[in-house]
Amino acid sequence: MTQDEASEAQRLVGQLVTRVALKPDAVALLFFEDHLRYTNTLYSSGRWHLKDNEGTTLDRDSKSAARTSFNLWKLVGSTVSGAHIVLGDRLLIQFDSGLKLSFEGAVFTSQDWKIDFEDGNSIVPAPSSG
Amino acid sequence: MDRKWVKLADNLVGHKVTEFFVDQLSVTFLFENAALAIEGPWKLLDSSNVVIDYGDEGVQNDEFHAWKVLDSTVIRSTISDENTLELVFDCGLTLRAFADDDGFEDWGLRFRGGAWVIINGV
Repeated sequence: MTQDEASEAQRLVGQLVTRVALKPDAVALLFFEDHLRYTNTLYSSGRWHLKDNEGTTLDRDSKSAARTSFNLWKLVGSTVSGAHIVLGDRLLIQFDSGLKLSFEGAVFTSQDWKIDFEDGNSIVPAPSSG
Repeated sequence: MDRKWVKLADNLVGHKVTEFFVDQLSVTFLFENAALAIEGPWKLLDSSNVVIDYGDEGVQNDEFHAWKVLDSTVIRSTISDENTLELVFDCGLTLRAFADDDGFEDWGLRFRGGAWVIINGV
């Protein structure tokens, strides 16, 4: 992943989460830019964590049969205040509500996480060089 | 009034919930053959008929349980004279979507292939 590709994640900054979707083995966040049209979509069927500003885990990936609670929906209505890709495979997103969402690139494919942008570009995790 | 359309809900029987999503003003359940979007009041009941979740115009309950019907199959589906949609799932949970009189869409059911029902009042 190049520096440019890594900085692409920052295109999420300022965008509003308007939909959080849950499937048996995956989650998705949909973003709006201006309340009129969807812009970008973030998918993951890999490992992820949602934490509050004190570091307490509020939600994480889980197969549906093992899931006991679902708190990722609390991001609906939040705005992205920061988005970074670390070492090519770890996506970190901060929200104005203080919540933090992280995705890990365990197998380095779009199954881990993928951002689809409105212009047709996508970002998927890349293996770290270190 | 001809209410033959209430039979449309029968088509959900035998189908699984494949996805659940939350928007700012609604909750939506995707089935193998249809989508149910609820903007009005709804309740989720357990097998003892105890309300374990509820909502109206989006998220109201801090502890969501509606996602628990994910991967469950509808075993009974009815629409009452008051336009309440009731879905009973094989996991023991029952979802009820109500119609109120605020003039806005309360719930809508759209099937693959085109048939749909939108309720915006009793």
